[in-house]
Amino acid sequence: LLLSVVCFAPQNYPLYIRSVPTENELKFHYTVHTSLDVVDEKISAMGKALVDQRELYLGLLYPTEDYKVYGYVTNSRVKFVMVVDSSNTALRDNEIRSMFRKLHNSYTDIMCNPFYNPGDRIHSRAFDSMVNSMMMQVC
Amino acid sequence: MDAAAAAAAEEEGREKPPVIYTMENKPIVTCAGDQNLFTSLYPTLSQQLPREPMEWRRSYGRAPKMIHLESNFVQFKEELLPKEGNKALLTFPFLHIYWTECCDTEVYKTTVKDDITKWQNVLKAHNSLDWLIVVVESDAKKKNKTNILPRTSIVDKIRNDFCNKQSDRCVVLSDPLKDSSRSQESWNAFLTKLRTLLLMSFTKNLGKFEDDMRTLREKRTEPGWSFCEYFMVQEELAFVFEMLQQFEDALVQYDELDALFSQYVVNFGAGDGANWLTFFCQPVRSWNGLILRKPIDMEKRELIQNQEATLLDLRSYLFSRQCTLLIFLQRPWEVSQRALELLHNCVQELKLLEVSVPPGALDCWVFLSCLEVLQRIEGCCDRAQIDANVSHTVGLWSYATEKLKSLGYLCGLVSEKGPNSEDLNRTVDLLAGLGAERPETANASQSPYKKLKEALSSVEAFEKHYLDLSHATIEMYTNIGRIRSAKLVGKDLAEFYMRKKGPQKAEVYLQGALKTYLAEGWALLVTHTRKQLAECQKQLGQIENYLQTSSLLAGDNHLTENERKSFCQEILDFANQQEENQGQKVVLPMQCFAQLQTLHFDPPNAVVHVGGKLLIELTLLSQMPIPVQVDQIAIHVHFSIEKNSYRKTAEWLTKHKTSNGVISFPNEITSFPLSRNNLPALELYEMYERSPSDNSLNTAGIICKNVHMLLRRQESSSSLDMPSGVTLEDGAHVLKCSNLILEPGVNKITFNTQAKEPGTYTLRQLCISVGKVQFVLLHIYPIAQYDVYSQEPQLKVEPMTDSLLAGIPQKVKFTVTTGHYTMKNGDTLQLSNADAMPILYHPESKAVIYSNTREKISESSLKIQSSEKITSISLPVAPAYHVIEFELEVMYLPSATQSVVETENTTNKEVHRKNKEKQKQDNCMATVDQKVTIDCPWSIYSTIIALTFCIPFNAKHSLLSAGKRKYVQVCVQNLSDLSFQLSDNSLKNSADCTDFQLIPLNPESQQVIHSKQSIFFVWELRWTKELPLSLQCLFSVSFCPATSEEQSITLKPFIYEFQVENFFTLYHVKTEIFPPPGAEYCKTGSLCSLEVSITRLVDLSDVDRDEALTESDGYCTTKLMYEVGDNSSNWAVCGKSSGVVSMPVAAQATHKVHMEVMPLFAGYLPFPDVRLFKYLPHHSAHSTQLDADSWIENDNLSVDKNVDDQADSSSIRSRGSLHSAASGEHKGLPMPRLQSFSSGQVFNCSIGMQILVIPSKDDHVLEVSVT
Amino acid sequence: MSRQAGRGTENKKMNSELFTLTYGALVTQLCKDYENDEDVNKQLDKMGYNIGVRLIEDFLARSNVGKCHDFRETADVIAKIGFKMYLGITPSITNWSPAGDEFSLILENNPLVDFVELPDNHSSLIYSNLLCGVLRGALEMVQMAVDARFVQDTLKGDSVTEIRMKFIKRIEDNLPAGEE
Repeated sequence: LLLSVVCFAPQNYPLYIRSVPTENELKFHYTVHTSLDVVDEKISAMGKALVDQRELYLGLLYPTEDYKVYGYVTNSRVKFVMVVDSSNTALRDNEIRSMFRKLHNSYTDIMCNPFYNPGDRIHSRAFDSMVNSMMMQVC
Repeated sequence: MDAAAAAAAEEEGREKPPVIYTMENKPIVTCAGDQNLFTSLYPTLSQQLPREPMEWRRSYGRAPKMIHLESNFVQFKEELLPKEGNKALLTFPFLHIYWTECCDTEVYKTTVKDDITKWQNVLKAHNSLDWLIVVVESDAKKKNKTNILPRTSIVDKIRNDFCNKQSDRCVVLSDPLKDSSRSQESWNAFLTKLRTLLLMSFTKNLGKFEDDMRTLREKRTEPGWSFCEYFMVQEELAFVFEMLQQFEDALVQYDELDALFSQYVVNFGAGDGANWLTFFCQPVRSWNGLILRKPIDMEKRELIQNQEATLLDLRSYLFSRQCTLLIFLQRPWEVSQRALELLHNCVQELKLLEVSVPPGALDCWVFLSCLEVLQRIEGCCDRAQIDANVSHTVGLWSYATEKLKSLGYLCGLVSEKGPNSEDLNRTVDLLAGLGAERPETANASQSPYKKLKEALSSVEAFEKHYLDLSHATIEMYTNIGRIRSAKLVGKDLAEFYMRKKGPQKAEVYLQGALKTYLAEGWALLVTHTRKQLAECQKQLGQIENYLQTSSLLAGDNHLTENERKSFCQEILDFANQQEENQGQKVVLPMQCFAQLQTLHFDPPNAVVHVGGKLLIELTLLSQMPIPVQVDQIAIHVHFSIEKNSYRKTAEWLTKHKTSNGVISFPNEITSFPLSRNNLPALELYEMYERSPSDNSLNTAGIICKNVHMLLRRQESSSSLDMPSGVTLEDGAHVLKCSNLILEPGVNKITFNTQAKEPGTYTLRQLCISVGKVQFVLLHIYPIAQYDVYSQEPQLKVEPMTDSLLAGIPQKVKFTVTTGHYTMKNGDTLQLSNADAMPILYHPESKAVIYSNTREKISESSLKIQSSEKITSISLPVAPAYHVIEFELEVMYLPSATQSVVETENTTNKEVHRKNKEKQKQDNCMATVDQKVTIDCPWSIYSTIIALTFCIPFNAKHSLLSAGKRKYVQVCVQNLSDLSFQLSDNSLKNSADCTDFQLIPLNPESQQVIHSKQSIFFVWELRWTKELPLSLQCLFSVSFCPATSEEQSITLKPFIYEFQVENFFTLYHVKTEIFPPPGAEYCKTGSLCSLEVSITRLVDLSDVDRDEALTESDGYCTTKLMYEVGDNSSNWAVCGKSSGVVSMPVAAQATHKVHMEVMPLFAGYLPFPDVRLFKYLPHHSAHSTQLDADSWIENDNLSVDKNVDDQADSSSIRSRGSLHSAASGEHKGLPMPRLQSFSSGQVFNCSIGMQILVIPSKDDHVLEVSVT
Repeated sequence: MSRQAGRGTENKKMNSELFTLTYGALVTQLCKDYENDEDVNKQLDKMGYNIGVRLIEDFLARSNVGKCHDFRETADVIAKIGFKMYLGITPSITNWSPAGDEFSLILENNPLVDFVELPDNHSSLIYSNLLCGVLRGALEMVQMAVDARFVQDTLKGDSVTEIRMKFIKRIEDNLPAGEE
């Protein structure tokens, strides 16, 4: 169950937060926010280790009792995070990976929209619908 | 007791329970035959066996392994042989060895053979084919034997009795106990054999086992299938690998089991439940965490074996095994990581399987497990390693903390008044579920078990443990730079403190967290944390902070309407409470209460003159959910007087403020995540200040327009939370606006002010007061300022056209800038006018009044009275800071002669200057500055204004003569751009002598002279008697613009005055050229004679009384110098080209000079020209006062002298070269001087005459110069 | 991730993103510089016009199409050659007016608007108005006064983008009305 999708600017403030409506949305936010720690860790590790080979997918960041948090970072240091319900063990790693790719692509499109100023929060029908479809598809 | 016996005993004990699984497990090898013999060999054997590693090739293409074999030698018993279907792989004997040292055929026949046969049969019965017969030989034995057979015989016998076609199943071990090379060899041979056979057996048995196992697994869909059974089977395999120290493989077995189970659970969740799974769903009764201290947790294993294990049991056991193996493999960090996953996983699975779990039970289990894992890891790593790998363990720590916390809440341990009865009951139940502490930790000083029991025992104990854990976790997180995680734990801690009514402790953590969330723009988290913070601050009684936080919350649209209202109410209540201690005000930053959106000035350029009205309109966006009654809104203004007085003048200000008067402000709130993270860019601007008069640069500089932002950034994040930064400047100037209601959303507030002191007013701060509370906007940015100026009245007079022409009426524009002066009725401008410039008054001329901003206010006709000396213009009534404009026609009359003279030399000046400046067209007009004195009503001093007029014409005169007849020519040039009509020209002799007249040879009619044209006028001079030396002439011509027909105004004519001097002809020069005698024509290259005859026309007159005159015996002569030159070098002058002649001063006295010239070209050649000069002998008086002209004469002269000296230098030499040669040496020496005659004194009658020259015969080339 | 799209009639290629972004930058800048969308639309049209009056030369030079005999022919040239050459697309020509002096160009995908999403505060902006200007300018140079305007736009949620072309008159004197 894909619970939430978040994009971060390189400076780690959220560009886009989307989560399935739920009473403890707050908890999502806390979880996601904390998971940034791991993202940073992984990125710095990556910075050291594999510079040339570009694996943007960071894998499982931060398992908690109820959520699994996966991460992905573009070469421009924009970060994507997806929160999945822990009970959903069906979701395979490469599915997640491909979902991230989708995100990344439509993010690039957003960036190409002349009316979008980089760094702003993302308000885009296209992006929303894409995320929706992903949430549908996974649930 | 010997080893074998021990083994036996051990083996006895192993009947039930089958095996004690310890690390000491070794593959079993049975020994039959001569036990004593084996016993004697056992020690050597057991230590020799593992010495060399052995390569183990394996089925299913698994990578071969090198392993050191050990084994457990036990006495052969039939029961040892596994029955069909026995899965206890570990108990299988892998090899059977028969020992004998029989060397006596008899003995062999009688006993040994049968024994072996029996043994073999038993083996066959259990079709185990892994056997070996060892025949030990020793010479010692042979000795006392009588009938000795060859050693080999027994072996051979055995071989062909038993091992048919696998003779290698029988080996010889000779003198094993001797230390001889031979015995060594035999040992080696034997050992290798043994190893090989063992491995073969392993491979075979394992292979078979794995196959069985697989088939079993394939059956897993069948109804009867039981996971537990399968588990046991595969674990056997794991055991064997473990026994063979192949931990990887062992681990794989467990991981497979793990995965299999998980899969089942998932499927179960998905709906298809395997019925065997159901009993894993039995309610959880015990939750005594993981046990990782012993390699195998037998109790749990049995539970599984007997299919009584709960899910937790299974998971725990599985993990404990994985953990053991991982630790063997030196991978403790994987343990910690897997542990975390496991715990999460279990919690999930229990949920999924809907297993009923008493509240808190899981928390206990998780808590214990976390600590257990941690301790286990600590057990096998040293401090340094652990510290280096905190990132792996910290997860467990925080998980444990979390769980302990929830337990605490569950058991009512987190409250001032401890747990109530039902809390206690719950606690008891939970503890019961832990069961008794396990023996292995029972007597340890501290264990997870003890910790938990203690923590739950009392409020204090709990607090202690909880704090310990939390702090430890926070520290670890911070150490590895997981700040956010640390903050999160901190927040839990804060909640805890709040519950414990310890707000002061809580605040730190909340602030810390809030800071992070703000910094990263996490609206929701910010809101949530703020709510907590508000509560905390309320309890702490930090009024300001509390109010600020609540104001922030009141404006926070992540909250529900009601929440916001309530927070807003909080503020208002405080604000309006009748306070006992007066004057104690609370100052809060405004951003959270209302946002300044735009600021609008009227007038838009935000520039007003002293006393002017200024209107400022603010657009405030109120963040409050309800209308707020505001006592007053105040703008604090900073006033600064401008040093640069110019800056206060209207034009500057109007020039520099071109905005539409609206300043809009960036929206703080929405933009703040950005502004936090990347600094706003410097907004730098160049600033030039030019002086009003000539706009030369006064000052230049760079202004940083957003310095506020940049400087504010440091404390910005905090300033939102602690109003310590908020201070009100006490500016003397404050704009107020009182008693209004701020509606939620947009409000417009208008301030009116009357400008007082001139200067610049900067709006610095905005302050909204609500009761005791003041909301302050510290910096109004972008800078908003308005300027007040006061201006002196000014009068400007400027021509409408770019230049005024003299003599014709033209418009001049008067501009009166009233400045601070108000035009009253009867105010006039008094022009004291020079009669050279009358002011022409048109009754219809009007004055227009403009406002400061150049819009037309009114128009009124202009009254002008002119007396002969003064023109007074009565100005219309106009308020201060207005502009009056009107136009007048003026005309400059270049009448007065003196003014003309002045003009002349100004002309020259002009010309010179112009030429110096840039090579413009040399003819530029003479200008006259006409000063006008004007008395203005606003000052006692009269202003003097100079108008510059240009004389449109420029005149030159020249004297022409024909023989004795004389003519005067005047050339009038029109320099202006317009064309004029010239009429009635005239030339008069000022000194009027009767016998003298000027006869005009000009058309009387009007003439049009176009721009940049010249017109010539000629008069003949006629006289009867004696003439004056010089005569003054006055030329005048009247003119008017050719375009304008109206002759109404009588224009003064253009006047030009000049004089002509000694114009009378003294000498008459005649030149003639004769072809060489005999020739008819001149020929090129042949010499011709040139005759110059100079004739004096008159007697000595006073015209030429000068030092040239020499008196010798009553009869005077004057020295003349002639010079024959030919610039066009048609002629070569041969011999002297110049000379001095002394001329008798008498009428008709003639002097002829002959010389030879040679035509250089054929054709009609003009005569060489002849020049005459007066030849003045040197006179000391003159050597000093030589002027430029005479120098040149000098040179010329000196040249000729030169020529004289060197008898006759052929003067075909170019004169130029001589010039330069000569000019050097004679400079400055006192010299005779030449004086040129004034034009007309010498008349050259043969000027312009030509003579035909024909080319010489022998010329091949015919050169014709056409002239 | 270069999404190089091979475009253009001849082998000349240009990265479509660069092109699209360039146009986008232009439009957004205009939006910054002018208060209301109408002005922006005007500007775009004007720019387009100035492009058109130049581009026609290039067009005629490269594609040696002769003189069109009627408006239909013109329409074909515009759609099949002009658009293809410069935008790499071939809009379809539909719903002619009975008088044959009006037709519509239907652009299934308009390369100018890849990735573009109109923000709500620019509802009345005609993003691709440049095209109209270009058409107007170009045709004016060949003595045809036309009126071109968008009647449908995918950016506005329509299924296709439609440019409506209306023939106004032949221009007799060869000098185009000078545009500043």
